[in-house]
Amino acid sequence: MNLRQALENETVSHVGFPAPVTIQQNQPVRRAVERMKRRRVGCILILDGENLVGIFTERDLITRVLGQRGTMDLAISELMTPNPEVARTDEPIKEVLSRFLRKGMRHLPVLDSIERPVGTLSVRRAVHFLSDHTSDTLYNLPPTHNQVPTSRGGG
Amino acid sequence: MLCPYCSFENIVGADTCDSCSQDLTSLENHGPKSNMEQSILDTSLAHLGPKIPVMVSPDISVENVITILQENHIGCVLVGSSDRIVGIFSERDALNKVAGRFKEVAPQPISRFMTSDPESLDANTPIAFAINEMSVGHFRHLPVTYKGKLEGVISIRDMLQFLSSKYPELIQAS
Repeated sequence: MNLRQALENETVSHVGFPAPVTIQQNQPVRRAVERMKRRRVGCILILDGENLVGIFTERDLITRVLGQRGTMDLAISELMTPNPEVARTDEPIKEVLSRFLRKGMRHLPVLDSIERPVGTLSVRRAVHFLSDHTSDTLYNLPPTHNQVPTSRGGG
Repeated sequence: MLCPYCSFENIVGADTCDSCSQDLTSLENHGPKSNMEQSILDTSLAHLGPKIPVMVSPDISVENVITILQENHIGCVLVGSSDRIVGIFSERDALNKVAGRFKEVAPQPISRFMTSDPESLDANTPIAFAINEMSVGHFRHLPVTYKGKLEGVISIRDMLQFLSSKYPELIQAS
């Protein structure tokens, strides 16, 4: 399948996404940050029971937490971004790419058909997807871009 | 078609070289297959217009760097000078190394917390390489140099923007 076909036909669930890292909204920021570090992710989904209520990212850490006294002990619900944009498992991937470009976010929580958060789709994953479908082009690249054989190979 | 092993001119479509018997099947379709594949090979990073990054010196304090990230709405700073980049400090570094002990590390020099000697690419490098580099290395930002001097930084978002400009009917940027 080439890239054009893939963009037209594939959905978010085809592209694949990691399971979400989540935390309940009444937990302290400190615990959310520890969990992000341990799981090596740039964003965490904030839940109320099983429902998605917000998102907290590395960016939010920079702008709302670091250097501001006492913020690590606040409830994460006070510093999260509430009602985030989402992607849906059956949504065409091209719609999601457009959304990334238009709105400028780096992560989208993925919801399934009954509104449960089932994953997080990142810009990085989207670029993986694009490069997967140009794989012949990429995998056949020499290790440096201007590498040309100067003599006949073999022996 | 020319045999890459012995330079013998074979008839088009030959499976093996008539002169040296090497396998020639890989020559059949080794080129890029679509406009997009062609364009990411033909277009250099310079074309993306690498953004001028904020540069800081290695001995600036962590606290000052965090303020720079906040005030400039940026995700990373480069450490060093345009002749010699010694490190990069990104939001991820802030999460992993600063969060949770801000008070303790705030006055310390950024050089202790940055990622040292980041990968960089020459401005003439095709975009395909940068996509590969970012996918494999899990980078969000790549410094771009020209003749060893820093030109700017490109981000994953720049890649998406470029690709969408090639397929505007598929990926609508506005």
